[in-house]
Amino acid sequence: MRSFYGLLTFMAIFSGSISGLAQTMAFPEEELAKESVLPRFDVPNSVRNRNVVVANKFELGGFLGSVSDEAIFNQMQFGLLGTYHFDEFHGVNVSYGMMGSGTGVYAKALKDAVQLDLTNAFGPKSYMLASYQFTGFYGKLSILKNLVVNTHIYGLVGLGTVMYDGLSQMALDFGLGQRFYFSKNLALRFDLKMVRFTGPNPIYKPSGKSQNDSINDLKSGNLKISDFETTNYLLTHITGGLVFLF
Amino acid sequence: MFHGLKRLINSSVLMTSLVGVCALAAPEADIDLDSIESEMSRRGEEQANQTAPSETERRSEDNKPVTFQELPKLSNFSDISIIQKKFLPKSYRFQLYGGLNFLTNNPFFDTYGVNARLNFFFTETIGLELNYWRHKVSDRLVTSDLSSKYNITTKTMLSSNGYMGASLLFVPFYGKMTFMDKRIIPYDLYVSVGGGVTETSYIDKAAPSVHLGAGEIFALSKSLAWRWDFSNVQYTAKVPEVSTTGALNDTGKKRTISDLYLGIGVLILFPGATYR
Repeated sequence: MRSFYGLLTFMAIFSGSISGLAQTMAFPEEELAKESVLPRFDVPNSVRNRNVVVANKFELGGFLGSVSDEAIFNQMQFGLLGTYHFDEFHGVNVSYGMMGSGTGVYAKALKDAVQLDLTNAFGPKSYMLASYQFTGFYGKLSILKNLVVNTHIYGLVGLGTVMYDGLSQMALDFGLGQRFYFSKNLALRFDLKMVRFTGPNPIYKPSGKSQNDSINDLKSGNLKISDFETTNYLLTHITGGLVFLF
Repeated sequence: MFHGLKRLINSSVLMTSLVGVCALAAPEADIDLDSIESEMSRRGEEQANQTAPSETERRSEDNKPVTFQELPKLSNFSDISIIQKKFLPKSYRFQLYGGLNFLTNNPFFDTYGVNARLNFFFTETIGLELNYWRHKVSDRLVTSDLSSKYNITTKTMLSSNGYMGASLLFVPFYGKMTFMDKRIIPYDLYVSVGGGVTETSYIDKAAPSVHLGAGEIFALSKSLAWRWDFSNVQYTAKVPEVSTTGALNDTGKKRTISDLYLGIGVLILFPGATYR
């Protein structure tokens, strides 16, 4: 009991001392904190609300682009794509692309320069790819502080087929892409994909056959796809398109 | 007797200390908190039923000091504008970049290499960048086939051994990105325009070039970031003619070539930022 009264006495004296010390204190400028410190939480929750929610939604759209390092055939491509998003991060993407018809500028140059006419060689007509899509990044972009655009960055890896006239070859694809949203449902989508497959080699010249005979065979148009030897392709697909989420 | 006197003194001290503490903790202790709460609730309901003050009224009232009794009359915020602090300050800082370059649109040659850049930002949106790229060039399968089967050389198709130049960077877009809802990554989207010289595989060692680019910078810290971009380098260079003996001759003929590169790398910002 005595110690309790002693404590109260000390508090009374100490409170009087505090009230006496309640003055404005000036700290030197260099001792003031210049950095803000944020608390660290055990369960961080960086994003509470997403403007664009893709979980359990379909995404449908069309695209236009090029096979930018195709040497012989038309580089242009166009097609349709669809994605189902299982949640905000994981989804499956299916794309069907059709290749532009005919040969490209380099094949025309070969025909003019050395009479090697590859018009009748077999090139890919279309392809279908089913890819796992991992959308790891979701963000917002301020455009000159006037407009906010939502965006997703994703990676793709998958399998599919490349279709020729009378032949389908298995293909492997991987790549990256980004979507920029005009609204919660409409977005621009850009993809950069590498597509790996094995297919007929348009540079036709079987062993034992002369150059002239091979050139004549190519010109005749009587060759079957099985007459061409196979070669490996690793081609770059760059596409851009419009997609709709629902 | 003495003990009783001591207790009396201690009681007096106790009373004094309690009064002192109360005086320090609640200088307006005469205000009944319950009545304030009920008053604020009543006025808040009245406020909700009234229309918000007009813009003119709000502005004229802005300069008047607000008293405690006027607190419930305050209108709701209607035009809050929040600009978060930039995590990756760039003004008056250098950025040293090192990365890999991949040429994505050359059908005859696999071209890839290293990419070094040094830039300095005058403001948060405008910077100047120096570029130095070196490339390794190798034949693709179609090139080998044309050569081995038909003796057709594709050496008239030029490829870039390197590029050196300067660009103006413009960063109009600033954003934040989350990785799997776990981490916030600030990033910039920029465009660049510039020029320089391309070293081609034949004849021209310094073909004049125009460089256009667009890319994104993702901040890992205030001094470290990763960056990817697409760069289009367009150059006009002499192309050789192939003679009947297979030799390459300079006939003065020129071609314009447009190369599209994908670059990925890491950049370091210095000196350390003293502001945000």
